[in-house]
Amino acid sequence: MALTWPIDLLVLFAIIAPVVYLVGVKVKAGKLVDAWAVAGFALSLISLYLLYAEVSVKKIITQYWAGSQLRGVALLEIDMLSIFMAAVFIFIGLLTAIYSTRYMEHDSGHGEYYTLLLLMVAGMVGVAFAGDFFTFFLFWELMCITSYVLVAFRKTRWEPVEAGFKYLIMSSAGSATVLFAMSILYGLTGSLNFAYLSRTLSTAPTPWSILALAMIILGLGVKAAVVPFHTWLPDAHPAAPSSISAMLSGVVIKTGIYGLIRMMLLIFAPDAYNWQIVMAVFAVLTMTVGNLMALLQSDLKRLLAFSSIGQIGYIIFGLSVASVYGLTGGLFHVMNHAISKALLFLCSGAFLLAVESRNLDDLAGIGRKMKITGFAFIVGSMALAGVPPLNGFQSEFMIILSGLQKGAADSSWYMLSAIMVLNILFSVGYYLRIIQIIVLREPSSLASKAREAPAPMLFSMAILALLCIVIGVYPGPFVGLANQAAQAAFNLDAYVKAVIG
Amino acid sequence: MAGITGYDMLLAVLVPAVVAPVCFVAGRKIGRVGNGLLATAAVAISTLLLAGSSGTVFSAGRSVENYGVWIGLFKLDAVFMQDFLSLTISLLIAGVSTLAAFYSIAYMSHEHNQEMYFTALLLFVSGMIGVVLSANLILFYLFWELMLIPSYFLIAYWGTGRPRVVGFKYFMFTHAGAASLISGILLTYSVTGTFNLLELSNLLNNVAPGILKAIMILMFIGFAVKLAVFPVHTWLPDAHAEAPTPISVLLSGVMIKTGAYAIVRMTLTLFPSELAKIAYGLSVLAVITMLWGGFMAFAQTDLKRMLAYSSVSQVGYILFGLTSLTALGLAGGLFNVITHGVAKGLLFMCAGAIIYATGIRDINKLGGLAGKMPITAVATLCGALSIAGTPPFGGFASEWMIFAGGFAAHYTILTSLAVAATIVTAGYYLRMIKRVFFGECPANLNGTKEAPLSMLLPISILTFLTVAFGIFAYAPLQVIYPAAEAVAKIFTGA
Repeated sequence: MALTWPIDLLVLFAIIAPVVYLVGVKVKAGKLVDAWAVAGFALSLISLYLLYAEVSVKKIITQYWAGSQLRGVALLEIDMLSIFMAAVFIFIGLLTAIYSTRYMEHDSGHGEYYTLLLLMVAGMVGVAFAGDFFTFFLFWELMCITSYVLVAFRKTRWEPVEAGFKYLIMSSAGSATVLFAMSILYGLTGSLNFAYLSRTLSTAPTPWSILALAMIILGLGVKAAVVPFHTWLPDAHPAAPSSISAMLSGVVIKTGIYGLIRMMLLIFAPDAYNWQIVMAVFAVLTMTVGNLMALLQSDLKRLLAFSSIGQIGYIIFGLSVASVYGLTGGLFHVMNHAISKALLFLCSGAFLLAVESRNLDDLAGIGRKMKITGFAFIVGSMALAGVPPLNGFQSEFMIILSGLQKGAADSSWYMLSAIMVLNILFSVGYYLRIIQIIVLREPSSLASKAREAPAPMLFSMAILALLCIVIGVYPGPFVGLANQAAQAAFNLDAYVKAVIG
Repeated sequence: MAGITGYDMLLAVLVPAVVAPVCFVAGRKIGRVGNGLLATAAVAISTLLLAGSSGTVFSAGRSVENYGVWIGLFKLDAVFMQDFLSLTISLLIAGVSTLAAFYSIAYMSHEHNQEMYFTALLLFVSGMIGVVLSANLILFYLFWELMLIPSYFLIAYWGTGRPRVVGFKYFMFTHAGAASLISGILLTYSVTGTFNLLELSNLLNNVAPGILKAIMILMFIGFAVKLAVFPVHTWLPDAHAEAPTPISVLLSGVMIKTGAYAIVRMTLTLFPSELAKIAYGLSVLAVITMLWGGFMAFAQTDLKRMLAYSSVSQVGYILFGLTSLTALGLAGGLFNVITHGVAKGLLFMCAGAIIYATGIRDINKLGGLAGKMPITAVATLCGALSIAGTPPFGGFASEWMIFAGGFAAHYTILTSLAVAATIVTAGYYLRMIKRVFFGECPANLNGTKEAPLSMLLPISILTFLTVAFGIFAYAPLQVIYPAAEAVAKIFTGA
């Protein structure tokens, strides 16, 4: 089976989507393009599963997607880590598409919307599959450009346009920095291939390669919203349509995380470059700023956006430990945060659709009127607050545990882990606050008119809420997947040998 | 397999948890009474299952159920264990919860969304039972938090006064304690490589004393918040006073006792060498808690708030008994967990009956109710005297053991202070009884009637137990004393 299928299918469905849309208009089947996009995601997910079956046997598969004459570039190299990330991306994409069938009903431009959505996910999957910097950057930009447009999708209002513009400027600056780092690396080694770069640079740091590392942390850090490069996120995520916010906060920022994991373990090996403590400080800073700022928000979606920054801090902390346990926790949290944050944004989308306001005071008590959405909202918030027996707890405890294990060798890690525990405590404060406002208060005048969301929206939310509970109660198989991915990320030898031999 | 079904402990935890969504879904159809009866039946089944495992505990000392791998990555198994210690507390939890669920049927009749109420109640009970039975620290923590979430919603949604503020305070305090607890648990794993309680005590012997002390303190903070020991008790008077009464029964009667259980099970059992160094300091804290709670109770005019402060004071007795580290004191402390659980549950139910009948909870606005509500009056008197440590009630039996343990540990001054604190206790209870049941009846209360039978039934059962535990104290002590002795042996041996 061709291993590009998950991407191919997404791109194919994206290109044909406008035609389907026009046909749909012609034959008066308004929802045709919606169904088409859902089918595209579903097929892509199935092909990814087939690919997973293959990778779990062979461990690593490589393919030169532009022919073998371009040795060293245009390479896809897929291991468990790639599969893990791609699975999260496509799965959330699928649920978002199902949700959008009703959520975007009142907007125009469905053809463009689904084309962009499919292309964005294709870009993310491509980033996860890339085996060299050229491929990586190609798909990276595909994802970025589509996401700029999606943020500013409701272009008749000023806020999305402004937020989209800010996002464009900052993210492009980040991309440019990555591009610069790429050219330095090319200058150093004469190759853009991850495997070659790893063999040449991973054990022998030079001032130039350290500069490249710093630029990559900065460039990808912008996308991952690591403090202090996070300022675009609280503007962009709330301004986008809620389904897109779910994608942005749930999965798009995770591509930055993926890039950091891949490059920092593969090319800039932690034993030689000793970036652990620097990253840990970034992580602690990120989580603290994110959680403290979230405490102060009165706009629901902005609050959720800041909370995403806090959660990114946890994930980076898991990475900074640079152990299999830590990375397992981090990757597991990537999955859990994708699920619960997407859930919360989808819930808030349902609330917004009902009352047309993001202000918490207007939303007060709406959970009483929309019981299922309200319940899903409680589950998602509690999960992110790290309350057992929900999924967020399982991954957060693994991350803290790995930090404490490192503390035996260097006691400053005890301190850093303690800061993370305190952060979780902070975060409980604001999650509890939004639960109280949305579910427990007497309904406001706007909220009392709200009706329960339509079935396709409820379906996506119910699936995500169920996953929060299931993963929390029985995490075994899911941790197993994250663990395989983490082991693959640390298995540099296999990754290099698959290309160089 | 021993016990009734062979899966007794798993079922005892699962039955309430599984019935909870049933209550929610069937809620509107079967109505309030149906819901309540369903919930009562579910908890009663748990109680029977727990009692069923007592045979194995008596013959073999403990009974273990292992359900295999839960999270393979950390070699984490789902293990439940029942021994003398957990048998004592789990029976108290399940028993009082059964009565509270039954009591709720009438008490919650004026409230809205009863199906949600019973759902949350069942999850709350399931969490409490799970805490006591877990033999694995992560599982323990999971259930520890599972008691918090539903109880938070119970307070914040159906509470009185300013429920959301009170609920928030309750959640944040308890969760901060839990964060400290999980840090301790994770630190334990990072030095020993296991979460299994049954294996831990041997492994911890090789750990450096500094780390051991850190773990002990972190865990103790978590337990102390739940138990409401002096400086971290401030959530309790708010939460227990403002919760709906059946939930106050559960919070004051049984939930805070999981803290006492955890102190015996972990702090005392796992860290004996470190604990022995600070035991005296903890006893001082216990006496402060006792006196502080007692004096604050004197200052209250709100019926339920007074009872809540009285719980703080009683927590002091329990902690004092435990930190005496003698078999007698430990047995007294654990026995007081039971007698206080029963008596305080009883008193909150009586307070609920008074509030239900009159709608008033200010002691100064009540009066002369003895003639109107005779059963409630007698029951309140029994409960109050028991807590004040008057023979022949249960509280007397447990409190003299605590004091005897204190003297045996040579805490002479502290024990004298503790004995003196019982005078305070008797003082505020007698004042309350005089104000509420005797004296002149205000004109607006002339038409007051006794609470409905379904509320009086649990009250009568608890009244009976309060007396029975005093007269036939040897029966519960057959379970409690071996538990206390096992812990005391660690210290005399060490």
